[in-house]
Amino acid sequence: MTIADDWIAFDTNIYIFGVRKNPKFPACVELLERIGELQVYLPRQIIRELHNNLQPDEVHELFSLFHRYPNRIRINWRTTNLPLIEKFQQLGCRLGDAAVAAHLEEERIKTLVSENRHFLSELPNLPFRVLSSTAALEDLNRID
Amino acid sequence: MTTLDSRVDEVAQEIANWEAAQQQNLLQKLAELNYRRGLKELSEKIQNRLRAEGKLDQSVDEIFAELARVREAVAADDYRR
Repeated sequence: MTIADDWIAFDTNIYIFGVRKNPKFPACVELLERIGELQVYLPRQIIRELHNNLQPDEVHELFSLFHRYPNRIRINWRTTNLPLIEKFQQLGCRLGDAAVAAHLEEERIKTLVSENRHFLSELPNLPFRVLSSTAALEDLNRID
Repeated sequence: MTTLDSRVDEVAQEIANWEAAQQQNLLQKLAELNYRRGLKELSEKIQNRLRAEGKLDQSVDEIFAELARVREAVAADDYRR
């Protein structure tokens, strides 16, 4: 099994480094190019962050591209469960990170790809694993 | 002289004779190529905008700081009572 076999989520930084073609993060660029090989869940928190980090026409174009893979990209505009957010806050997360974690737990997403190496790293028993873009790409290229 | 339309007809005729699985493969490949081309154009547009704003060479730390600020602002807007 590779990450292609299950629903995963990209943190906002993967999209941003990917669309900016940041030379320090070539794996983010490649993951975004190969999104059609994956099953990517996009929760409201990350959608709204993309809206705030990009211009309206850029977001529109990005989502038009994603709509070419209707079975591969699942967009969820719903807010998430407050008690779950509070659970992560009580464990020491800031509100924004707690919202992302709650979204993923609620939807039973088991992998978050992020370049933020410290993302929730201090929390024990996270319901999902955090992979860097390089590790995710290695996993995608793995032949079972 | 072969026009583009007649060339398209010719290619379509040829493809219509392929197995369904091969046709599906071709459609998938086309979708992938179009997606990549669109993504490349979008990236160029974003890079041009960042260049004009003097942000193309923003450090990774600055980008992370901005992403963290936006994350908190979005979550506060959605969930803070």
